[in-house]
Amino acid sequence: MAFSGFDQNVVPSEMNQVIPLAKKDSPARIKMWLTIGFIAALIVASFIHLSVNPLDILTAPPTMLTFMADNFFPPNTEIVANSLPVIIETFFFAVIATYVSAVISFTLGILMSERLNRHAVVRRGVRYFVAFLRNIPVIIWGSLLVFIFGIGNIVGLIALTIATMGFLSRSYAESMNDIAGERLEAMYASGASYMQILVHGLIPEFMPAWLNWTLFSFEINIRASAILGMVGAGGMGMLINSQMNLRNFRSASMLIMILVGMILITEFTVGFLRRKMT
Amino acid sequence: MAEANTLLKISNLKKQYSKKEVLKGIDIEIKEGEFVVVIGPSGAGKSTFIRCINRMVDPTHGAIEFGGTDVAKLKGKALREARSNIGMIFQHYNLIGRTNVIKNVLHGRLGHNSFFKTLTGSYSDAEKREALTLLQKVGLGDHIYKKANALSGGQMQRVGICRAMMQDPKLLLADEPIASLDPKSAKVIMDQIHGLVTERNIACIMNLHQVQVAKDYATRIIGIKDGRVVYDGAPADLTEAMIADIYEGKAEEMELKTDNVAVGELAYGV
Amino acid sequence: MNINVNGNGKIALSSRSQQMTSFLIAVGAIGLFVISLTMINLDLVAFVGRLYRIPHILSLFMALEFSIFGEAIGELVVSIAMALAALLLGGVISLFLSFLAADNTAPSKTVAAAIKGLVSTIRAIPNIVLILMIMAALGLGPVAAVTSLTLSSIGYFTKAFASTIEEQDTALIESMRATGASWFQILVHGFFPNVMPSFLAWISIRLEMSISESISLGVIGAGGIGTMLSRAIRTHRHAEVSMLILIIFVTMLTIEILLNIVKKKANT
Repeated sequence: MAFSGFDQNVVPSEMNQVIPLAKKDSPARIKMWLTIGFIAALIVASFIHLSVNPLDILTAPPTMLTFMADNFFPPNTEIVANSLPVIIETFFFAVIATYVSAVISFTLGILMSERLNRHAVVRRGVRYFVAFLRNIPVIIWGSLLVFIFGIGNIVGLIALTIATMGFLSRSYAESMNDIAGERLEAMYASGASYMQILVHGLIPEFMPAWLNWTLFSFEINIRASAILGMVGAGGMGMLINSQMNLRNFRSASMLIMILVGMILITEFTVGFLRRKMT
Repeated sequence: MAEANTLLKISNLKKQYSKKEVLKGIDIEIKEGEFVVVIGPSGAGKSTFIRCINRMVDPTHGAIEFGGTDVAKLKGKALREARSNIGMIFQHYNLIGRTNVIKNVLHGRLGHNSFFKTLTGSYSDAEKREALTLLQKVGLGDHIYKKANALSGGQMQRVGICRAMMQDPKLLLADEPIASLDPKSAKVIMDQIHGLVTERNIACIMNLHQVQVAKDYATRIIGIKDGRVVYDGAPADLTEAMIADIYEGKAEEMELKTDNVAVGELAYGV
Repeated sequence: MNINVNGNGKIALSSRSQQMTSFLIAVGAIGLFVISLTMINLDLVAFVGRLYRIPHILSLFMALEFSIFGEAIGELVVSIAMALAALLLGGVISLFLSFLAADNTAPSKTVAAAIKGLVSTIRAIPNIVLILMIMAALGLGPVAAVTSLTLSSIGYFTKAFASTIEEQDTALIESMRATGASWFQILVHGFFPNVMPSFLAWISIRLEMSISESISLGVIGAGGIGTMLSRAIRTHRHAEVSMLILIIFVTMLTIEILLNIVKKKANT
C-alpha cells in the first residue's frame, strides 16, 4: 500500500505543522498547479460565458422536485394500454438494429483491422467513415435522417443502426486484430485462401467477442430509441415527447417509468449474460 | 538416401527489416527425406529463415527453388498452392481454439479444397479417414470432438502435427515445436515428428534451441549465427568448440527454453 | 469418445451434442430476427416511395456555408462551456456522494444503498428525457441544460468514483481511524492521494460524453451549437447544416484523439 503524501504516524493535531512532503518548487509541482489553475480559469470562464450562477443550479432541485411532485405524480396508468404496441415495437426495433449493425460492423471491422486488411488506403478510408458515424451524436443522425427521408420508423431504424455501427466497428476491429496474429498464422501457412481463413479461423475465434460487444450494443440501442423519438424517428421517445409537449405530465411520467424499467431490465440481463459468458 | 534428389534450393537469401539485416545471404540445398535441424542463438535469424521458405516472411533478396518454381517470386493463388505443399508446425501450436480437434486437423486440407466445399465442411471421405487415422496414430483418437483449447500443450502440438501431415507435404517446417513443452511431452512430440517424416519420406527443417535434441534426431545440422550459416554438416561432426562458437556470448541460451524471437510483421501473401 | 457417424455412413465433423448446439443457436438467432421483423410494422412502402428524392437532397448538402463560421464557433463554445460547468458541479457533488455510497467508507449501509439506488435511477433516465422534465420545471435556457448535464454527470461519476473507492484497501481506513482521525480527515488525507489518478481518468472519459450530450441537448432547444443545427435543419439551409455537422465532427474527433493521447501517456 502506497501512502503518497501522509505518513500514517502523523497524528491529526500535528498536521497543521507544515512538514514539507514534496519539494515546493519542483517543476512537476509547478506544472501541476499551472494545469489546475488553467482548468479552474476555464470553468470559471464557462460559467461567466453562460451567465449561469452555479448557485442557481444547486438551488434548482427543490424547485424541480416540487414541480415534479405536483405535476408528474401520480402517473397516469391509463396510458399504458394505449401505448403497449409502441413499447413492444421499441424493443423489437432495438433487436433488429442490433442485428443489422452487428453484420455490417463485422465487415467494417475486418476492413479496419491492419492485420486483415493490408490496403492502407481502404483501411484509412473506412476508419474515417466510422469515426464520422461515431462522433456525430445519435440525435443529430436522427434529425438529419428525418429531414432527408421524412418522418417514419424506418428512419429510426437507420439512425439506430448508424449510431451502433460507429461504436461496434471500432470494438470489433480491435478484437479481430488481436485474433488475426499468431492464431491464424497456421492457416496462412497451409495455403488456405483469405475467405477460408475468415470462415474457419476468424469467425470461430471472434464469436465470444462478437456476442459480448453485440449484447452491449443492444443496451445502447434501447437507450437510443428513446432519444430518437424526440426528433420524430418513432418509438417510445416519440410518445414521451408528444405527451410532454401536450403538458400531459402524468402520462409522460408513466411512459418514462416504463422506459426506465426497460432500460434497467436490459442492463441487468445484458450484464448477467456477459458475466456468464466469460 | 545417397541418390536422393534436391527438394529445396535456397540461394543468397537476405532479409532486411527497417534497420537491421537479419539474414545476410544464406545458401542451402535440402534433399528429399533429410531431417535438418537449425540451431543458433535467439536473434540469429532462425525464425525469419524458416518463415522465408513458405513466405510467411517476404525475403528482401534471393531465390527459393521448391518443386520447380521460385517461391520467392510467387503471388496469390500460386503462392497458396506452393504453401499447401509445405507443412508447418509452430511453437504456440496456432490452433483454432474454439473449433474441435478433427476440424483443426482438416484445416490442413483447406489449401487443397475450394472455398464452397470447405464452407459446408464437405471434405471427402478419404480426407476424413486420413485425419482420423493420423489422430489415432498420435494417441488422440478419443479426443476428436474436443475443443482444441481444452487440450494440454503436448496434445495441442500433436494436433498441429496431424494438421501439417494432412497437407500431404513434401517438406515440413517446424519452428521451435517443443520450446513451450515440458521435457516429457517434448520427447513424445520429437518422436512423433521424426517417425512420421521418416515413414513418409518428408524432408524436415526444424528450429531448435536444444543442441542435444538436435544431435539425437537430425541427419544434418545447420548452425546460424548473426544471419549467416556458420556450420553445415553431420551431427557427429559438430564439436563442443563449434557449438561454443555458434552460441558465442550467449551460452546460457543453449539449453534454456526461451520464447520465440519476434519475427516482425508477418507476411500474409494473399 | 465415440466417433459420430452420419446417416450416410461417413465420419461427422462434430459430435452429436455439438451438432445439436450449433443447430439450436442458428435456429434461435434466425428465429429472433424473424419474430422481430414480424412484430414491427415497417413503413417500407412510404419509405421506398420517397427514395427518389434522396440524390437531390444529398446534392443540396454538398456545400459549406462559411459565413456562419464565426457564429457557429461561438455556439460551440457555449456547448462546451455547458459541458465543462456541469462536469465541475457534477464532479464536486459526486466526490461527496461517492464516499457516502462506497461500501468501505459509507457512514451507514442504508445511506450507501439509498445513494446507489438514486444514482442508478438517474443513469437509467436518458439524458434527453431528463432535460425535457427539467425544462418543464425550469423553462428553456442554460440553467436547465447545465442542471440536466450535472445530473447525468452525477449518475456517472458517483458510480465510477464509488467503485474506485471500494477497490481501496480498508486497512488504511482502520489504521487512520485508530489514530483518532475524523471521517473527513480520513477522506482528505488517506484517500484522495490514492484515488486521484483513477478519478482523473473517469473525468476525462466523461468529458467526451458530456460534450456530446451537451450538443445533443441543444438539438431539442437547450442552446449551443445543437440548437443552431436544428434551426438550420428546420429552415432547410443545407449548406449551413453541412458546415455545422463538419464543425461538430472535427470537434468530437479532436477530443477523441486528445483523450487517446492522454490515455496512452497515463498508461506508460
